[in-house]
Amino acid sequence: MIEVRDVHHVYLRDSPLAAVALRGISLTIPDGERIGLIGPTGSGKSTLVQTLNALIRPTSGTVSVDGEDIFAPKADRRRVRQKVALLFQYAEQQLFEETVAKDVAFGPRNLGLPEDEIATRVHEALQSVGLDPDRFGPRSPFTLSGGEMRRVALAGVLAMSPKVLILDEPTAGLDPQGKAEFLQLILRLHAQRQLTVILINHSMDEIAQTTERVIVLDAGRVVMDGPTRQIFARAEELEHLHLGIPQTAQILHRLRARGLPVRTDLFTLEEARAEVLRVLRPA
Amino acid sequence: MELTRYVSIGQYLPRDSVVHRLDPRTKIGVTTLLMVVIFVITDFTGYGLLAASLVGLFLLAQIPLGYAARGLRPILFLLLLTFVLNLFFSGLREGTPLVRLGPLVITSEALSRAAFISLRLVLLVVATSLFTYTTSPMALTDGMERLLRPFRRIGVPGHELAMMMSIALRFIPTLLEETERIMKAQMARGAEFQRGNLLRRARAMLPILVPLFVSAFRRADELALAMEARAYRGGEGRTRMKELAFAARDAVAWIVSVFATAVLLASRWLGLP
Amino acid sequence: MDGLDTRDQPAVWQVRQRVGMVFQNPDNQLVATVVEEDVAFGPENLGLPPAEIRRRVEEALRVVEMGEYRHHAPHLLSGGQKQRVAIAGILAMRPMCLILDEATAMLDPQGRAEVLQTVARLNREEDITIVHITHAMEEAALARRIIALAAGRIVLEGPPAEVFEQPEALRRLRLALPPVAALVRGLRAAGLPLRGHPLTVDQLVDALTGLAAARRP
Repeated sequence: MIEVRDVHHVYLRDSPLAAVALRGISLTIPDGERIGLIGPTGSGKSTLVQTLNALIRPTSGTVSVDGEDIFAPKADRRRVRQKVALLFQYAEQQLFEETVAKDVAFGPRNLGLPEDEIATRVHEALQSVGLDPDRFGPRSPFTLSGGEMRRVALAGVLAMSPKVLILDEPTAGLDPQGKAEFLQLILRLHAQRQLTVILINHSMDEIAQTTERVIVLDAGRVVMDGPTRQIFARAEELEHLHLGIPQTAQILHRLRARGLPVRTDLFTLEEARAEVLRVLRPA
Repeated sequence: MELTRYVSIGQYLPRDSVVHRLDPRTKIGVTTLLMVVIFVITDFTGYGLLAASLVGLFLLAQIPLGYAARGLRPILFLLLLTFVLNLFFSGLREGTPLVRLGPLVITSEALSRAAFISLRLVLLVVATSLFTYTTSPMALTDGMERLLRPFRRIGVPGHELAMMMSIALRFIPTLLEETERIMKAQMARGAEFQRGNLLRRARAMLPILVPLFVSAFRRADELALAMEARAYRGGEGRTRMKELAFAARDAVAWIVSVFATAVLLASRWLGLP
Repeated sequence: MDGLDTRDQPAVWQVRQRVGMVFQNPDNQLVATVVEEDVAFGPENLGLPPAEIRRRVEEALRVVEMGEYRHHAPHLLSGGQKQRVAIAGILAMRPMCLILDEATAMLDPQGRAEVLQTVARLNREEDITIVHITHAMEEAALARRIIALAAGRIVLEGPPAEVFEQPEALRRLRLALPPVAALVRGLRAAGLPLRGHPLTVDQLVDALTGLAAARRP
């Protein structure tokens, strides 16, 4: 469980260029939850997730993982980063080793694990992202396709055996099928490894498909936090933040505004279709 | 990630002053003349006059005098070293002794020489900082390109040099941002960069350097394509939106500084006071 | 291209003036450290006189609504703003055709909307042909004609309404129907007599409310 208490963060504090990024964030993230973190560009999403695994030390406030204050003087930052893994945007750009297997081994090796344990973890991690370890392991990461490279980067993070997986725009730049497959992969990992998943994403359709809880940030504050269905029912507030809602939900909202008695807390294609038919079904 | 947004390149201070508006070529020329003058002058009166005119120029350029002092900060140690060395080891042991510290003697001649050399250093730095405060990196590049144009025939690639410099300026913030991102991505995988001896630290840089190089090459490739798509084919046949053009103020600056330098040199060589 | 053969070396420079390209990564196509200098880059390469370049730069920045940022450094702009500057850089060359090579792929929804609105206006008001290469099907739905390529061949071609009639063919290309088209298809399959070819949210809402109004006694 992650607990965030009244976290503030200011970049370049005490300088004329100081920029406030977080203004008093408090959150509780129970184990195993699937959370969508959304907000306009510059709302503080990236800063917030980087405080969760001690990459950024907030100006004030506390973050604790499983009851331990991660910024306490004696805290072991490596252990925090092992527990709370972060896959950055365009993560394929962080690959650097000669072979896929060596690159995936980078994390476990930094944790100081014995060689046989490292080998097992690399094998499992590649398997769980859908890449055959024997076929892809010995290859150079730079000969793979963009989508495959991103899976290798994800495997590199999974090889740390995290409890929490944070993904910053993991589907950016993939084709529609690639996006769908990657989201399926995340859902599968969540189920298989009992991971807590925190997904930063600009596509409301993808957030709707993958998460059960949505946290909305604006200007460094939490402005909405609740079950995904309830958050997307608040279309006007989301549109006010230039976030928009899934196109299917938009259709239902507009229909309702024009006086049709449709429900507005639905957003999958199938739900929207059934709801429109319920109201307009040919007699 | 947001951090590197605030990195500024060089120390250009945008103001709307006559000094800022001078053609960069004029500023390069006048600064060069100033250097010559600083080395030619051999007495404190001369430096006093020069310091006064530099103060005048700072006021004219609307740059607070505090910035002149700020430019000296990085060379403070060098300045101190120069002063001390000249004080004790300038070889001016014959003369009026002021202080005796065991085998070391400070003479009033040595003191005056140490002060003079330090002042020379200060004036050199202040004069060049006036140039960098009032000239944007871009204007500097343009000035360089124009000044090198006549040397094209003997194979000096002025345009290419200037283009490289301006692209470097454009991409420094981007690459800094990227470095920070890659560094954090590797730290998220348990990498540590501040641990161990020098060799270990150097090895720890590989996970940052390899991705950075890969990305820099990709960027270079894409940029080259984008530039060609915008009909770029080198300096040949290219015009500029802001053609450098000398204005009346440039003429004034040139005349004043050339005249002052000439008078000074003449008085030096003719042995006038 | 407009009677010019692109294989003909001397014609290449004229072709590049008439067909402009905006690429995917906003960071890797801006050359200068100041917005207006970047927009001037293309016209400078064409060897135009300074006064003419100045005129074109001002106009291009006005068209993409980036005039107030002319003295800004590109790295301080948002992704959508950078792409609009890149578009201005092309406009200043007075092209007939603008190719967007996945130019919206790296942008957030607001940046996408800015770029899409800008190119739609260029198409409407300046009569510039737009070729928009994209994976986003809801963006493709805004086109007058869709061309789908696979392995170097044209496999589908036609107005969006026709292309979206072939979801199986699209799936083979790793593409999906955009949400509106998928919903329309689902509703028709269930027997709802939708007329026309709604492609956008607004069109579909109009069609559905029209249907409801017709039902009412």
